Amino acid sequence: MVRWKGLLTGQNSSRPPTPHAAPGGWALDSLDEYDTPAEVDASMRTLRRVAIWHFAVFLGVVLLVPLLTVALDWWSRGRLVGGISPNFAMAAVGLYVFFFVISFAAARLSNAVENRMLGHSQPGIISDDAEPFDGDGRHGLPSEDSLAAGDRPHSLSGGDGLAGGDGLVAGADRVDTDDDSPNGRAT
Amino acid sequence: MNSVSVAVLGALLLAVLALTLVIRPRRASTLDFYLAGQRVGVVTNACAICGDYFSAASFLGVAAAVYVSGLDGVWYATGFAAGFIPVLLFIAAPLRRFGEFSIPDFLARRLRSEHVRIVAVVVVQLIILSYLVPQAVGSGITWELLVDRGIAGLSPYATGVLLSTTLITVLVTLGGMRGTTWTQAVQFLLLLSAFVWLAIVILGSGFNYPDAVAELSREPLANPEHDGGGWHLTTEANRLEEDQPIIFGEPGGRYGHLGQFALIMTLVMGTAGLPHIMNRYFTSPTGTAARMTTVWVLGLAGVFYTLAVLLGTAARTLISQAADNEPWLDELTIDGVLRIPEHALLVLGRLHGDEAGLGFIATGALIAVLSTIAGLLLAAAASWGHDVYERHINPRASQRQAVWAGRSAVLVVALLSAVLALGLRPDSMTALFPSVVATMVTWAFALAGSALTPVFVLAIWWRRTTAPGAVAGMVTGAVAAMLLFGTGTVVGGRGLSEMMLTPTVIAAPLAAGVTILVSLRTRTPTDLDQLWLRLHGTAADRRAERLARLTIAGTTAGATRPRERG
Repeated sequence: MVRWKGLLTGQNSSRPPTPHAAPGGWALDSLDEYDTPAEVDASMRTLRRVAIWHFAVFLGVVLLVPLLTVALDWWSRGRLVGGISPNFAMAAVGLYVFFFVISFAAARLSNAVENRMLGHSQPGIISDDAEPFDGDGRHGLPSEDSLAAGDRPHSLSGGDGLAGGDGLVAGADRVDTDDDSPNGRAT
Repeated sequence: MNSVSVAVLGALLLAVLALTLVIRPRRASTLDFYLAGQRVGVVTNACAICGDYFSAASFLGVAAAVYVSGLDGVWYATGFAAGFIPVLLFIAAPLRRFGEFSIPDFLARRLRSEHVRIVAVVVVQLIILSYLVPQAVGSGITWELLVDRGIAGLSPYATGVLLSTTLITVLVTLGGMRGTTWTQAVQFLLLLSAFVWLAIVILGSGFNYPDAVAELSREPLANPEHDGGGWHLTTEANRLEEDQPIIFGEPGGRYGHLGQFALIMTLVMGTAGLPHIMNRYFTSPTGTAARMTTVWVLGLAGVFYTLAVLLGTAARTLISQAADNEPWLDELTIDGVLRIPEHALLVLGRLHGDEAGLGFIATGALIAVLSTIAGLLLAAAASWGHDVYERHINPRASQRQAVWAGRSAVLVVALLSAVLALGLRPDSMTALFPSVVATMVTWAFALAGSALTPVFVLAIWWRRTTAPGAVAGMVTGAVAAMLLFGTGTVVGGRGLSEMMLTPTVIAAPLAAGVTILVSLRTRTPTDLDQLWLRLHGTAADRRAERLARLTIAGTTAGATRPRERG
């Protein structure tokens, strides 16, 4: 089923509720969230494949329109309704429908990949017990250029440079300061 | 000029100005001025991106290109919309997750290099100027047709250019990104409603889209041309079959196969490198929100461009039919065909809504220009103010000083673009390009797609990308695009020169190749794993979402408790 709420808000509505956030309740709990380098590397590779595959389909369809002009006389001179040829119909309306459909599919798949592959680790633990998402067995396993579990930088889990959340949603106009910028850095 | 048109124009522009003043940021933080506090929702941001993106090239230019070239003009709209697919697939979410203020800031932080920042600033400024000038040209054209009167001895065209530039400069310096976001979202809804209104009245008056295409395709397409003997209609040879005439509903009106392919690739690749559009993604609260924003943009763009193509077709049919009965069209047309194709929608508005209709469409055109100029000026401000002033001129600048540096940059860039626009006369270039506004914007896309997009995509998805590689890639892409475009303009003609006029298809692979080659011979940043976590991890997204849920839960609990007590 299409998750219209998630589409509207851009939130990962498929993610199960966190144990600390009781429905209707309001508990001040830890906001720490963690990604390990191995998880991120694996999800990045999967997302890269998703992006390249969708881009290839997109490019193929877009380039098919002028290619059919060369290959099929009917494509440009045939008439579907009134004077509108298949070529005209595709360029004037059809491609926009295709763009929306492929973008929607790619976004949903990308969100699903991230939901499935990221955010399951506890601090200091690399998640390697989950099933491989894309069947290549890479999920959860350190790649050739990723860090080991113990090398995960603590600064990334403590809400310093990455902790955009409290400045983003709660309304505070916080600017995270950076070691080399007195004017802060957007996160 | 008619008082009704000007009254409609004035009322709508005043409403936008009032909105900006009401929602302007009260505190002078750089995060507010440049990124609207990073709290812009998905639909609002999608509307703001559309307001930013749908410039004079989209509002006037697409219909004009269809008016002049028929089916080949449609490809402008297709390319403009298609450009958001690579943005969604490769850029939106990682760019937002990494954060920062601007494209140069992103590249400099990702590649840990100030050289990258400086080169990126130069490229970004070139793109902004290339994009700003046609917007100013569009405002001059609109003022000329709507008011046709100059102020203080200036021509109507010059008055339009200067007034629009001045107005939007004031709005941007007052409103910053927060004010601009909301005004751009409102402006987009106004643009869309102008198109919807025009489409409804045209279809309601009996216009039949398929029959109009059939009618227009019965005879060769002829357009006005000015030579020693004055204006007259001429037909060009078909670009696909030399012995055939150009037909409205068939390809070959403007491009050969190579030219069409080059145009599409230039527009597809260019969007991902447009600074004013990419800066909008930094205002999303999370990477996932940035991704879903792009889906909404693609849906809205589809509706907008479908209507633009319909209206371009309607203009070609209805204006020639009306030319015999409407004396005011005599000075605008040659045998029923407009001399300046960008007038198509404005004339259509007057034909179907009298002076108020002209005022409404003209407001839409000016709004399209103003909202895009606003986005471009903000991108220029972020680039000069944050990347140059804060980083290199005054590293100890206070928030107040930094914001004022951005505002000063807005003034300088606006002045420069107005001066360049005043040096151009669109009617003298009509014979050379299908729509001068759309074509000039294409130059900006070519530069962005050649110099920035390849480096951008590699920096996000290829760990081995290095600072020297990025610098070499950006310089190669920019120089190749400018050289090819210059050569194409001088050589003219068809085939390869068509490709040179939209050079991304050659320059972008060249830039990517150079980036890869140089990167393989140089060292990556030492903290690459931390950078990669920030770029592709979702921890910050999840944290922001959890905090939002907790905030909502807390607000709800706080609101229900007093009621329970009562």
